[in-house]
Amino acid sequence: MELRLTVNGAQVSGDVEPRTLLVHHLRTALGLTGTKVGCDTSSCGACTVLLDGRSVKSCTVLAVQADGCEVTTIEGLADGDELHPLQAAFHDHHALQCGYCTPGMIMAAVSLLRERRPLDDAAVRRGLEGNLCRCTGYRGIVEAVLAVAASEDARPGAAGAAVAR
Amino acid sequence: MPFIGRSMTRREDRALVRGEARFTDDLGAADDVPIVDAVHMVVVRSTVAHARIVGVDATEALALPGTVAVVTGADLAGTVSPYPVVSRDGATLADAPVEVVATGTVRYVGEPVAAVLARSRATAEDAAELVVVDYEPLEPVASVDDARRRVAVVHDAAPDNVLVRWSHRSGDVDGAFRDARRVARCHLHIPRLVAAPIEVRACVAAHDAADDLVTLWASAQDPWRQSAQLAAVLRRPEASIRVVVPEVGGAFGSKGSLVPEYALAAWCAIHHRVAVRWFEDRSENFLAAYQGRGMQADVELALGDGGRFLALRADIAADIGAYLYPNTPNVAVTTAMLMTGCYDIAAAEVRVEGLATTKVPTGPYRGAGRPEAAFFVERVVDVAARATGLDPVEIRRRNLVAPGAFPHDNGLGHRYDSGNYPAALDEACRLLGYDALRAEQRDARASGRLLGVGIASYVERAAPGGWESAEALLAPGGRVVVRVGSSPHGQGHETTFAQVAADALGVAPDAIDVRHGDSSAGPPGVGTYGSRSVTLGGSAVLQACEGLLARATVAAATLCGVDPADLDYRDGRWSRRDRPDEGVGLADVAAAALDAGAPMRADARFTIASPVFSFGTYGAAVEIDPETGRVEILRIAAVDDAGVVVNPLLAEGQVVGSSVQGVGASLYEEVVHDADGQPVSGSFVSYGIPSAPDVAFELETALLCTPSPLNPLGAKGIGEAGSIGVPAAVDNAVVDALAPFGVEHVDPPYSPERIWGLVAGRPDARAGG
Repeated sequence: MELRLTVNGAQVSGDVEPRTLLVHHLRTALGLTGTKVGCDTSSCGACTVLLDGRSVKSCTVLAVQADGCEVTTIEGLADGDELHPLQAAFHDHHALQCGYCTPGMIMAAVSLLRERRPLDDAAVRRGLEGNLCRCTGYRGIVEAVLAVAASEDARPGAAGAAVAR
Repeated sequence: MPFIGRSMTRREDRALVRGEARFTDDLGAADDVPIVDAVHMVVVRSTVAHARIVGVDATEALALPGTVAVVTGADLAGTVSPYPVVSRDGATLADAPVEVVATGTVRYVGEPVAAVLARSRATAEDAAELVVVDYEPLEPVASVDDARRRVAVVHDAAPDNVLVRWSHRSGDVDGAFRDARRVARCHLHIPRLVAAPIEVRACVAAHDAADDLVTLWASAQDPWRQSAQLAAVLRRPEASIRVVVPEVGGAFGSKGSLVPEYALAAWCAIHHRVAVRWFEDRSENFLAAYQGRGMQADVELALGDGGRFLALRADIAADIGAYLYPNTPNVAVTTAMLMTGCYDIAAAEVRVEGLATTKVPTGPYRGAGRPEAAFFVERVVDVAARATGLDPVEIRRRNLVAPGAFPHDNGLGHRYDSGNYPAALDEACRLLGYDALRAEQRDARASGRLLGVGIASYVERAAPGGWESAEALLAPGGRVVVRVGSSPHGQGHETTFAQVAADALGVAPDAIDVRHGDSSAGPPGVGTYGSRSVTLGGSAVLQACEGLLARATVAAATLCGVDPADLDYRDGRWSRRDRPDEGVGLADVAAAALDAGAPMRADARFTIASPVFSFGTYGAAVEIDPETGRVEILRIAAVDDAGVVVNPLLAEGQVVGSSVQGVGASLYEEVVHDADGQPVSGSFVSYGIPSAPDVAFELETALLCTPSPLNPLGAKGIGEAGSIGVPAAVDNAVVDALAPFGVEHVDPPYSPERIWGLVAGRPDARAGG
């Protein structure tokens, strides 16, 4: 089937088998291997990307379902050499060890920061419930998300806007 | 100010947070991985726990367009050797090594029976479903009890189903039990757990026929064990094998031994002249990756006057599973050798039987024998406290090995290098707020609330396996490239090793590049396991860099025309004592060495005579909802002493992460097989690991420092601490909370169902399966 997507701001089109999952299309056809596969049951969230700005588990979306949509993957988050605030905060707060869950976790956090205010420790934890991390115990991850939320709140009239890049 | 001891964020992070880091299944042409013509391997797995294979019919699978080959045990026969499984620490082993592909008999659900190679993953999966395996069922052996009853013999080489045997005795055990005022006893069971790294097992295998070189890119803890075991299994010299370990998405012990599917992929690459890639499903990881724990014990502690521990006896039975991996036997023996814990016990007798069951084999999972030991020891100590009427903290304090008594022979073959156990106990009580909690508990009980407090002291054997090596190279421009045999899977070796090298060389960590993970480049190594990397790999880095600085100083002296003793060295620069304005820097020495055609480098291989022993005390406060049986963890205090810590930020990260894995083991995680040996917990839906909302409790950590005398850094290990301390502390807290119900013991995991059964007075919920 013919598929047209906007991925990280670029228009891509191509032929895809109808049974292809979005995650496999991103990784194999488009070479965007930052998005990971971690389970078969939509449990782990390693494959989280933004579909028209909202987080989805790309192992649960057929590529053809995304036809005409805008997809943002971890590769589309940084502005050149400059890290997205969440990417920088994950580094600053030791929010990753092996780093395999990190792309999905960051994409889920991008969506969370856009969707839900105000955020406290419990709200961040609930918001990231669908993303599993086996290394960090989540402490650094929660701290990183709260730090970005706080810095956005501190900026007048900027709630949620900065992360929508 | 030295960099060792400083919290520094990680240099590894940048590529990882950008999604640019390359894990095994991400590899492609850009990584020089021959992916374009690669075929996909999908493994056909046994659907039954125990059966004779009557036949494998691949006709339909081979007829499917796109199928390249179907490989069975018959194809491999005569071309592979058994896994090398050797005895350590005096264990007696049966001859039952894990097989690459089943030959004749399958012994667990998930065991590889055949491999399908196809042009696409989808085709390989479709073809695998068309492979018909004809089984003649045999009796499953689903538990240790079944194994002891010999409902079936799993391996002819072990007619009694015992694959691992170990025992040790010291002191007058019988006399101590005869003279004891009391004996504390318990029977304890820890279920099997899965490591569940978020990246499953994955590899790419290729064979260069011209050079007869096999290259394996693999998600593994290190290249070395994969390489050595692959050489043995494929009957090839190690020099004809290259193993590359790219970014690895976690392992926790489960990617230490050679994965049979990696050997299978390599075999297929050689014999079918194609590059082969394999990326398992999560369900395959649950079915076929070796699992952890699965141990039970009968423990007895003889008590003298004042609650003094006179002697300990333990019978340990391990549910080994169907086969031995090279690292399988070590786990139960590790438990056995730590059964006197942190305590001064004059006599001990411990026996281990590792039993064959028709379930997936076991092996190391974070802690790998130490969590079991801590659980067994700390539980019987709490039973002793209750029997003597002493407070659990007080009975521990009276029996801990005294700070002045090191080195301490523990009666079971270990010599503890250094320690200050009372200091860890005191600090944990302070962090937890032990006394205040006990007061709160009295009030809570009066109003019907079930509040529990638990303490667990542990000692762990860290840095086994003898040695690691490093090479330091002075590169053009004065940067130093450190190549290490030790390679990481999330621990942050690059950051910590750069800190060690920076101090040795008197430069900033930014001036150091750290390389690892390729068996064909740099010095050899052993592996990343057993909390050994800083102690062994870090010490090797330190010595290599010291060696490099000594050589560079001689070269600098030549450049300056003076004796080395007449130079001062600081911040990467030598200056003449007599004329401090004159001197040379690392870049000058590097340039001179390059000009002379002899790049300046130094090697070091650090060998340690015996392991080091980290220790600590964990405390837990829990509250149980009597209506639902739900256990809520209120607070955990984690006090660890790993000697000199290179990077406290990363060490704390290990403590927090391992503590949350410990909470998973306490509250949620349990591999379940039914009576036929069929696994029931095969996905994250049926096997829950903690998610963020599950672990919102207070976690207070502290690092103490009693240096090890056995390595130049004074380091010990920290990577497994919380997995060891948390389950024992939480268990003691849960039993403490349930004391008003007369509960003396409950095995993990503390599911609402199990706890509710106890609260409602249902004795059948007392012990685990």
